[in-house]
Amino acid sequence: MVKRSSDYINRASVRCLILSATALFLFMTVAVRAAAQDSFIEDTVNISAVTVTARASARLSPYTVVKMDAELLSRHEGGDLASLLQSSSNLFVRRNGNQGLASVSVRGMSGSHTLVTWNDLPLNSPGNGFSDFAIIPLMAASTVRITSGGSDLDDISGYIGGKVELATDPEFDTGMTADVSLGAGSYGELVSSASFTLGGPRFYGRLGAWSGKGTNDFRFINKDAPEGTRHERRSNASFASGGIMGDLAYHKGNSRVSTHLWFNDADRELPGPVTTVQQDFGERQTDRSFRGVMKYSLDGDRLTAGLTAGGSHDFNRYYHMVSSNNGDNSSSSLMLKMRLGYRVTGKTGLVLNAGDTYERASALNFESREERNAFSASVAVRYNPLPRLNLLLQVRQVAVTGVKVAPEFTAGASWMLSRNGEHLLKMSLSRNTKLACFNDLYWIPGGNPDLEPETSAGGELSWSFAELRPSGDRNTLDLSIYASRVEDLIQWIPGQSGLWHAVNLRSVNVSGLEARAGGQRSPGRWKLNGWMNYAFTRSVIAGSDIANDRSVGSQLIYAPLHHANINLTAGREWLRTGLSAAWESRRFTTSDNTEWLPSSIMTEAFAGAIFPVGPVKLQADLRVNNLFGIPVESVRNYPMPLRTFKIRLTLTWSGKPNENENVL
Amino acid sequence: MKMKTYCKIITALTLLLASACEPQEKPASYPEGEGFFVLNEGNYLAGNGTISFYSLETGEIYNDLFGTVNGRALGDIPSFMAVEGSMGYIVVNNSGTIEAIDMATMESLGTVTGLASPRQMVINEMKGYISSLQDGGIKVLDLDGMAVSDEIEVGSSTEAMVISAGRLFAAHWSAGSTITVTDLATGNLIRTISVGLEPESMVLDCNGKLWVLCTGGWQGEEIPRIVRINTSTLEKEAELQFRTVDDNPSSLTCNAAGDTLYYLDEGVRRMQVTADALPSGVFIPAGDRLFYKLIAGPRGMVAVTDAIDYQQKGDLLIYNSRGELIDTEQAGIIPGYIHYMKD
Repeated sequence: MVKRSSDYINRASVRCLILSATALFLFMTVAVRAAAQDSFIEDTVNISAVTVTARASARLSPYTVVKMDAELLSRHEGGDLASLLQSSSNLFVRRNGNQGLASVSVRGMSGSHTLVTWNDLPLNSPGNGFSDFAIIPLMAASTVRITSGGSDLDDISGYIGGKVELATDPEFDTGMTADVSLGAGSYGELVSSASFTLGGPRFYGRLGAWSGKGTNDFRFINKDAPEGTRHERRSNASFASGGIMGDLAYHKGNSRVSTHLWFNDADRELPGPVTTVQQDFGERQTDRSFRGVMKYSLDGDRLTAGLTAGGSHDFNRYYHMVSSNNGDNSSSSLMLKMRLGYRVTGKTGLVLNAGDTYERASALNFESREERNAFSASVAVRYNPLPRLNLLLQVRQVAVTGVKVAPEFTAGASWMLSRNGEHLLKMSLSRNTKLACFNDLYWIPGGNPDLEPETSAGGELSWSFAELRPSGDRNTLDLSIYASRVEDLIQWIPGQSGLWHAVNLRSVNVSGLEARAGGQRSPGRWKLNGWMNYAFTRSVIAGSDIANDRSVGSQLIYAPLHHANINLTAGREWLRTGLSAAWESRRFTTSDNTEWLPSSIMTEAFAGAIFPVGPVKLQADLRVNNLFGIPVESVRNYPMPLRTFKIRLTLTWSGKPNENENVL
Repeated sequence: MKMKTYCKIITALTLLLASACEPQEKPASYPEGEGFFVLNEGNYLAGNGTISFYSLETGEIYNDLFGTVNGRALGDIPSFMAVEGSMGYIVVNNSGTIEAIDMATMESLGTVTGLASPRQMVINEMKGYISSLQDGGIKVLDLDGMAVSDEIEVGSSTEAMVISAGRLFAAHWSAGSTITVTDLATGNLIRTISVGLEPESMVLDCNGKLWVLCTGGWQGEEIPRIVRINTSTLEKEAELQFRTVDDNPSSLTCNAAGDTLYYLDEGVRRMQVTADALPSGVFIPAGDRLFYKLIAGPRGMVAVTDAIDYQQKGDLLIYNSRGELIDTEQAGIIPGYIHYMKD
């Protein structure tokens, strides 16, 4: 389409666009991290003893671990996992537009530095290292556990940003439940889901299915249009997705066996960036995944054991208006992992982890099908020299063909300052690594098989307060400071040849503070919840092998210095309502910090009503995203929708009504 | 007396205040005189391409000229600029646009949209010929009406173009190895000349000979070469091979006199058009720089860009005729194509 020049003559007055040089932010070596909403703490805060053989509880872990439980997830029904993490945690979600690739980054690192697992099975693509949260439905998890930093060495190989663990935990003895849900939203969005759950004394089974689609042709504001700022509609942005998930579990005595299956299918058009004009390259991609996990666990008095076997196959097909750009990518992985814990004495416990993962991937730009096998073993010693002091030392060695990986370690302590466990002081030191992804290693041109693993070394100090009153009211506050140095960060740059290639190039100093605070009150028949998160993240390039690199001393791109969110919910018998807001300071888009996206705020409000009729419960929800219709871009030139609405009706039948059920 | 003094003071303050509140005069975006325009490509998909001007009169660089004047971004990957009289035409590759600008003010006078990955543009008799990385055709732009009026079908994607004696020479760079020659009067294809894998840049010398730099393919499929073509007979006259398949030459250009060629190959190399072999020595070593684009300026000067890490503002480096660095200026993000403006 060619438009005549007269249509575009722009006599706009001169506007000063001053791109000021990088602001020098205060380096904070000591900071505080506060907080903890009630849903993040464990049910029991009166911890008088420390279990030494089982996995450390989130709160007692010497490094920062927070848990989103089923209650919080259920409050977000109708939303998606990425927006839940953005609005309710200290994680930063980077979205390539609505329904586009959404990656989650922790403590200033990129999304590829975040390990994402589902029932212990890694979901990160072996190709680019990312996990796309845009196609992970909320239904895929009953709990979400978030580890900040790479201190947890229980996994087969490491990560240096953080870990997001999704799990579908069996709930025995809950009876029979079935639900059907239908929803509709702005811009042609239609969603539906159904699930059937059977929770017997020994047996648990759950089958769920979901689907969603939408034209996604939302309105946005294009500030760079040739005619000047104007409203436009997004094109080539429709999506359709669906999936089935099944869980089976059986337990007898201290033993439990479970299996989890997940088929996911997503077909998305990929809108181009909004630059001077909205672009449409006819891009589209299909992602199809099949994942399966089998687990066995034994929780004895002195001995605990776990065995997990799993595998996944992911297929990705990419379409472009130029057919030569089309490509099929596929990857598969197999994993076998065991865990053995033994309480040697009342004060000492040993945990041994060992596992092997085999990954293989094919892509248009790989010379052949690429493979990698990684084996690792770790030993952890937990020791309680005093009743309120818990020490941890864990060492892991990863063995990968052709790659030299230095031993990793975590040493930490948690100390209950008060007898009832309300106050807790924690600290840890850690050195961990992340293996290069296949694209960095094998992409043609530019892949570099000689890449070293990225490494991170640092520590953190936390104070945790959790109060549970007899009335049921709760108050929590968690503060953490941390600092680490990342070496051998992999970057793609063009060399003298002009061809881009991957090299271990830069080092990054990461430091910051995190705070979580929360509270719950029950005045009369109301139940009120409130929680907030704040993260100050300074991830600064400390060294570079690039000549004349002016990025040294600058914040990493797309790593907001400040991230904060607040959530308020209120409910009584049949009513529930809530409001959340997530704010991010500006995010730099160039490595020398001369350009950035402005700070942004996303607000969300919901209201719902529940109408119980015997064993049947009808629930109606209304959700408003971006309540104030503020233009937001998470990734430059990929706008998010202005105000959107979503309604949802859910019919739930329960064969075992819970008289004490609370809507919140 | 006192009252008069007060009045004067109040009047002066009022005038001062009024002048402060008035919109400021639009500053001259860049000084007149000779210099180099630099197209800064910006980050891929970010739409933050800009245009800079380095003044040889003042020795300073003036950045983001288009955005400052027009209040909007130039677009995604400005890759080439053609100039005809007082008008400039900036090819914005990934935006699929061509911005027509007043060269004196940088004001946008029109935008052609909807082009499929336009790369370069040459002008002949008020018609612009636009190559494309995706199309098998060369779009013909009527510069008066700013509308695409025709298309020359050449079979595959095109990059560099040269017009000589009413003939359009178009290089098939991306995975190609030929140059097509089209008669502009009839639009008919005259000949396809096989030159070497991936002809990346080409230039006419003072003798009317066409020099073509072939990179040998991005995977190093064959040894790069520079080929000289007689534009009258359309025959290859010479073929100068580089050393090995690992060489990565680019950015062949020519001085204004047309007697000296320059190109990038481990730095800047130069050779006379009468030479029968490639130069063995480097005229300007790259050192720790990553040279990206090159142009030969007046009086033997050479301007080179360094895009550093391709995620931050890069540098424009100015060398004298002896190859000595005489100035370094910070341009925009990924400074690429350079256009010499005589005056």
